[in-house]
Amino acid sequence: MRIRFVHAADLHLDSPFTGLKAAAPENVANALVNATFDAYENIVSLCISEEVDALLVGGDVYDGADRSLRAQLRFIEGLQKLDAKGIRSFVCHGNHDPSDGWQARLAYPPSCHCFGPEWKAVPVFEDPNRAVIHGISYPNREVTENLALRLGRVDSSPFSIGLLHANVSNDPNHAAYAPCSLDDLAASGIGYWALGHVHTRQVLSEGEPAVVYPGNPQGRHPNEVGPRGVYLAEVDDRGNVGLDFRPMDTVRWERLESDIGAFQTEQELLDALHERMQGVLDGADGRSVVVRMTLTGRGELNRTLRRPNTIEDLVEEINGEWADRSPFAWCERIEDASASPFDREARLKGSDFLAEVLRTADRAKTDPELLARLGSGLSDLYQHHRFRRYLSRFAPDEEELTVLVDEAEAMAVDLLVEDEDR
Amino acid sequence: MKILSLHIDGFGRFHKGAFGPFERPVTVFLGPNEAGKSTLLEFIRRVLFGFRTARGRAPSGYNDYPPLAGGRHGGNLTIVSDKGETVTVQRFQGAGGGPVRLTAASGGPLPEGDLSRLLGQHSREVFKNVFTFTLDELHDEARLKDDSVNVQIYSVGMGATKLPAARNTLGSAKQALFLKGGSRHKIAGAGGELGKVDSQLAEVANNASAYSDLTSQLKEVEEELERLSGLRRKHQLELNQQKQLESAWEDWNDLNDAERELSRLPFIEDFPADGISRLETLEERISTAQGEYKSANELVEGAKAKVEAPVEHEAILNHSTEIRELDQGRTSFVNSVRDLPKRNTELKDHERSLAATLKDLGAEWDEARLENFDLSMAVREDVSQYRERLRGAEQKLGLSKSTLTQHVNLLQEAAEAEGRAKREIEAAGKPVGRKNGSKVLPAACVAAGLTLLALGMVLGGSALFLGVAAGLALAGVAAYLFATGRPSAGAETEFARLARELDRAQELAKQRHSRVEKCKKDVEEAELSLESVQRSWRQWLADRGLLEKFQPETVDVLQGKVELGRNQLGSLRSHRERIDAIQYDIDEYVAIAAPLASDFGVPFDRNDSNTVAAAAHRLIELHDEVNGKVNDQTNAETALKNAQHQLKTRASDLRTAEKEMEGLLQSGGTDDAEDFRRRAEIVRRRMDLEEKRREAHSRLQRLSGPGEPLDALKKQLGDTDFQTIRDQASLAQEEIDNADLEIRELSNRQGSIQKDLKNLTGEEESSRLRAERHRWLEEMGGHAREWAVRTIAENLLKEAQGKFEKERQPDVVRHSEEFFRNITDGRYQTVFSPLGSSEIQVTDSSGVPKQPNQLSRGTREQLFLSLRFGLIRELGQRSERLPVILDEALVNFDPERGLRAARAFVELSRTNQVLVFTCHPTIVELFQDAAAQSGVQEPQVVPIG
Repeated sequence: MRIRFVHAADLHLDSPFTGLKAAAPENVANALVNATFDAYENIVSLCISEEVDALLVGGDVYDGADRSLRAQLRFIEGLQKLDAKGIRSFVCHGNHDPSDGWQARLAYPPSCHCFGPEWKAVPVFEDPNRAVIHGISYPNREVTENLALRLGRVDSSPFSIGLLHANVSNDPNHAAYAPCSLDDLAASGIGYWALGHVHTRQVLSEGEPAVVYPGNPQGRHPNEVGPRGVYLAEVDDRGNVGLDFRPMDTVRWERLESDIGAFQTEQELLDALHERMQGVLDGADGRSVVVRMTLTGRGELNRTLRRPNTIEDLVEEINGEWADRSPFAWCERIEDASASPFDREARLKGSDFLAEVLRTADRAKTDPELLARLGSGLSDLYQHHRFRRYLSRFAPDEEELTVLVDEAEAMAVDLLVEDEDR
Repeated sequence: MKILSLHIDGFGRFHKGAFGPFERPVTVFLGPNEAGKSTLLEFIRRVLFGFRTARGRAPSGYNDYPPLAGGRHGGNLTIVSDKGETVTVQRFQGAGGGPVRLTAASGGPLPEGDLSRLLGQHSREVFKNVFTFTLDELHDEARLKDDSVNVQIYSVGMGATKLPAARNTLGSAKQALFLKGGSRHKIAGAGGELGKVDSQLAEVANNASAYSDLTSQLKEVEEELERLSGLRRKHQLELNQQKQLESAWEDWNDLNDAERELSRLPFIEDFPADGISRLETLEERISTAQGEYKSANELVEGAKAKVEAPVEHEAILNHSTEIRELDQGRTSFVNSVRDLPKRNTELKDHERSLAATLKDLGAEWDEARLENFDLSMAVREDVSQYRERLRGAEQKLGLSKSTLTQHVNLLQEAAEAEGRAKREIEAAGKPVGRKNGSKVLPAACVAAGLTLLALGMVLGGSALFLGVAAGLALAGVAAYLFATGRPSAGAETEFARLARELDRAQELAKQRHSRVEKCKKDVEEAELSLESVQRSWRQWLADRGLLEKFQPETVDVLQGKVELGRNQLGSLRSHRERIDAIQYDIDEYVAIAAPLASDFGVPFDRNDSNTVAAAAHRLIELHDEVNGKVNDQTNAETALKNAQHQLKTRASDLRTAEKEMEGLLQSGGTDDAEDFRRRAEIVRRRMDLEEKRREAHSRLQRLSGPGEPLDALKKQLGDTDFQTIRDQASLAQEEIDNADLEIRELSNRQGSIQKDLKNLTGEEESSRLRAERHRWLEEMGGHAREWAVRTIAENLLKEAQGKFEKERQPDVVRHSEEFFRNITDGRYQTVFSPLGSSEIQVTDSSGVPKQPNQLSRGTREQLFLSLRFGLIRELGQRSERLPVILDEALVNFDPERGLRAARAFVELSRTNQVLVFTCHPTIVELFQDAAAQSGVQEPQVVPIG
């Protein structure tokens, strides 16, 4: 075997969970605060138990903006453990932890190589012909250059691994830092591209070269659902790559949807939600789970759900059952996207005012000007001099606006139509 | 679309109810309260638009109208569309609002979806809010209040009556979330929290630079510590060397002293090991042996004295048997002495009782006679038989006498009858047969008199007197008869009868006389028999020495007394025996004690029982004492033997020890214990000195280490003196202390830096704050989203309204104007909505424009109705014209307003069917008048209930 290594990226140590609206109970809050560290600990333990040759970290080890000393110290602590076991580590920095960003003056262990702002080739073993790692760190946050192209063509006689934080093929869900294409990567002579930046694991190419995003090892957002971890990679003497995904997360995110149309009473709904909570906990392999529920569909229950504090009571009821456990399942929130039992199609055919409202909402989806008019006035809040620094990230784009129009329509219908007349 | 008829299967109070056909433009359903008007109205709504689908809780005030009178919940309506298509709509309560069935006039089924077409795509809400008029909506104060009337009136024209409320709801919800320029909304609250978190984060953000500074400081401190540690080690070395000399100094001196003294002391060869200890042990043994010999000797002497001592009154042991008897009988003796007087008193009582009994029996009775008197059963039987015999004889005598008396009486009666017969013959005047009479009658009288005399004598007493009297009487009669006996003339027949009676009487007297004689004999016999028994009884008493006058009953009493006397005599004798026995015991006890008391000098008086008891007690004690002493003497003899044996053993031990002592002294080269001790002390001192020399040498060797260094050490010690060593050590210690002080300070500094570093590295506050920040951001984002949805909802309503105003409002207003002009009799000419304003304005006949809030309440209501009618007309141009329903809508109008409103509805009935539900006959008249004034067909009145 040529080399055996663990490929991790986007550790985002000590960066908080985002998207949480409710204050978590103490046990949950503690788990969340420590989750990124625990996942990193799991990675270090995996390296040691699997006796790998090296750990590769593809950038965004921590969020420089957070200036978390704890994150850097804990990171180095882990590397020192690997050093003590004779396992080398290779680290490059990405947009969240660029070289010019805030860093404490800390000493990396001798077996660790931290790449600088220029491509550099570092042999993994004493024998330089066995495997070489080419790596580069972001000198600053705003790297829009195609760094893959800057590497050019490398000598492929020792097995070469490229360690890079980049957005391949312009993944629209992530900022376009160090953009490059698969072709650019394929042309480099690198046998394994150990990438970072995209948080959802992806194997863009399984071989010649292997192009791999391991994703972040700990989900930190409602959208980062499901198992999160690293790839345990093995390269044989002929340069064939074997990949084995290993979950490293300690707290898992899950999003659940429930159609209220199936339930007649709150109790039925609650029973179903309890069942779903049990399901996610059963499927989390002994891990704790943070759950975001979304209630969908149309049904009479919507009337109940719209009463003040009903949703909050449901959340409390569920968490009363599940949040105190170990491992816990904590329902972070219940989003009510359900609607009243309203025959929209029939009402759309009418000639009354409500029909006009429905038609207007429909027109907005194909009429950008109308959509803009419906969204007029939103900037009063999103661009408010006091709040824009907090709210600019939430300002709805066109797509989000369409979603908001649907919700607005549902709200207008609720207000215009009497319960009895649905 | 018009409703032609209703058929209710089951709905509320209706069952199998049919209404219709409704053929005129206006139909008035008239019925008192509770007759079911609202039920009918709701029936129409539900058949057309469906039953409530919700399975959950019904809205407040919702009535299901269950079929209370029976039937299936629902029914059908027959309608005719604007195009003239007649369809029956049938619906019953069920899933999804209840399944609907449409049937064409031809009887063929129509698709369910056609209903929506027939209803002009209008919803239940539109039907309710636009086509139905209720008392509430025209009379709701809030609805037509001045400050919101414009908006309300305007909304009516759009058929969106809830629009103003919806706008208010959205507006106030938005304000709670965010209000430009406000500070108490939720966004501002979250903003405030974020500001706080941000400033806290800024505080902890400097931790990293602090960490670097502290790391540098720590390095400097650690280097200085290293330097100081080196210096300290050097001084410590010097100090150690001087300490070595200091600690060796004493040993050095000891070594020299020991060697000096040893050279002065004589050397003694072969002195026994542990000589002093052995000497002392032997001295101890000899001393102990001497003491024990003395003690044994004393024991022997003591035992001897005991053995030889005489025992006083030893002879009492020869009387152990008597002493034992005294001891055993002591309690009995005391009891006997105590009881004897009591027993004597009892004996006297018994003697007194017996004497009294004997006295009762008689002077001739004594104990011997009492004892010998025969009380056998045979004697008692004799007495009993005598008692019976005497009683039998007496009874027989009494009976005989009684019989005699009876027969005497009978005889007397017979005599009297004879006398009477004779007197009657006399009285008849004819002498009674002289032959018979002159002789018979006196003789009979004499005989009777004699009989009576005899009887009187037998009977004695009064009987005698009677007998005499009777005899005399008879004699008198007889004498009289003799003297006067001459028959009366003319009474021969009577005389004969009387003579016969006289004969019979005489015969009877004769018979009775013979019977009296016999009874006399019986009496005599009975007297003889009684006499015989009495004689025999007296003989029986005499034979037993008893008085002859005793009756058998007296003898019974006597026997009882004798029995009592005998019992008393028995008790008396047994008592006497008992006292004799007690006295015997006492005497016997005294007899045992007396000689012993005398022999052993114990005071004794045989007549004083207390002295006797005390003497007995003393004798028993003395016996026990003497017995104890004799036993002691026996034991002392055994002890003497043991002591003599022990004495012998001790003497032997002593001799052995003395021999050993002699041997020990000789082995120490002397025969004197003191000298032995002196020599032993020399030997011990030499050994101590040698040990001291060896130890000093050994310690010096340890201090210097093996081999050569000892000589070097010795040389160093020889070259210096103690004071110099102390001075140099003190100097080195001072240097060390100084270094320690500095090291301590630097170590504290190091600890402090390390602590700070640890705090910095372990700090979790920033993690928590970042999480907090995200949470507040999310909260703010959530509020912003809610606000955005409401803002868009407002915009959506505004857009829809704009479109409605543009495309529909002109027609609505135009239709309204027509109605308004008609309803107000031309007082108002136009209704219009200025472009771009959400308001309705009117102009009066003189062209002056007015806002709704400038109109009177009545005119506002008319404008409200006009706009609704305008909308109904406008809707009618686009789709089916649904029936218009008035549910008591005009009841509170004054007659003039009511009439105008009714006219408006009648106007509307030209295009839309009007169904009026009321309980007021005046409303019927109102519509009849309005129809007449408008030239419309008279309303059809449908009575309910």
